[in-house]
Amino acid sequence: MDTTKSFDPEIKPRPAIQEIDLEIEELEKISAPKLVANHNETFVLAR
Amino acid sequence: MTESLHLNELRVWSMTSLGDRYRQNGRYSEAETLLRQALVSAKQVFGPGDANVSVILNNLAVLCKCMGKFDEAEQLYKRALTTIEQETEVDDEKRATLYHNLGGLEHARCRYAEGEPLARRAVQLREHALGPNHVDVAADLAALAAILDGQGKHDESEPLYRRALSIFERTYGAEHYEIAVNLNNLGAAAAARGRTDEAEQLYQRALQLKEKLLGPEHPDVAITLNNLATLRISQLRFAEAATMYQRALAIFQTVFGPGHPKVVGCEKNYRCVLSALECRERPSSRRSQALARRRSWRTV
Repeated sequence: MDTTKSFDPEIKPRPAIQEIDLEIEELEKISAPKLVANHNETFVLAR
Repeated sequence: MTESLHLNELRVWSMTSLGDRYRQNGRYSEAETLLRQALVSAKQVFGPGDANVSVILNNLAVLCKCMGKFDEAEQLYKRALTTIEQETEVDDEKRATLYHNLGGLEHARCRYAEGEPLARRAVQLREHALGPNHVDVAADLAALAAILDGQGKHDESEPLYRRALSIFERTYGAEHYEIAVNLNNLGAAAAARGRTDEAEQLYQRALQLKEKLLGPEHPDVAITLNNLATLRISQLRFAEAATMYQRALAIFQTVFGPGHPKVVGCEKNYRCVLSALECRERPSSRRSQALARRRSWRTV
């Protein structure tokens, strides 16, 4: 049985950690929403 | 996991963020459901007088303004401002945003003179906190410029728009929602001063950018379509104006329903161009065209 694949550097845990990092980043973004500022957009009336 | 990521808090902020996203996408009723739920939950999680609650009060108020619920928006903004000003360390950036938004509400109500001191206060607070070239200062300047436009103070408004646009382009590049809004407003200012060709170019750039960023059915696309249609009236291109108003009105009616200020305004504009088309078909068309050419505009 070829066990080398278990230690194959290609099957590394890093992607999973990166995914977790990304999830944490996303959660951190969600945890601090800003006060949003509105936009005063000109709407022209004909007369 | 930090305390800020406590499950209940996370739920509140998730609802708030999603509500903000729906508002940006023009999905107002879904945004309203989420932000109202977030406000109820936030009062339970943080306590009703907590500064975190002021974020949701403000963001719900912005939505109410978009939906034409101006009185409710005012109450929400004032509650948010009171909450922030009662904090031990008053956050001038938050105060600036609330003055910016209170000024914007007066802009939406066409009460420009009342809005001007509020918008100026926002600029003053934010410039003091962040310096003159910050992108949030640019947003305050652009908001003030629109309020000045409403009072016909175009000499003062146009340099403010151009200063804001320069900061936006430096910060965001050529394609951003803030830039599209600025191009629309600069177009309206140019049109009000009779610079029709320049207005045309600015409106077209704004329209293309909005369609690309927001999609063709977004109510902000309809605002620029309405404005371009009004420019077509001044160019005596009534049939084109009618087509553009029809498209804008269909978007506004779908998103807002009857009675919203944008629906009412666009319906008036459409009726105006229909009567111009009728006049053109009558023998006295030259007189009606001369009258149309002399029409002045007012901005909202």
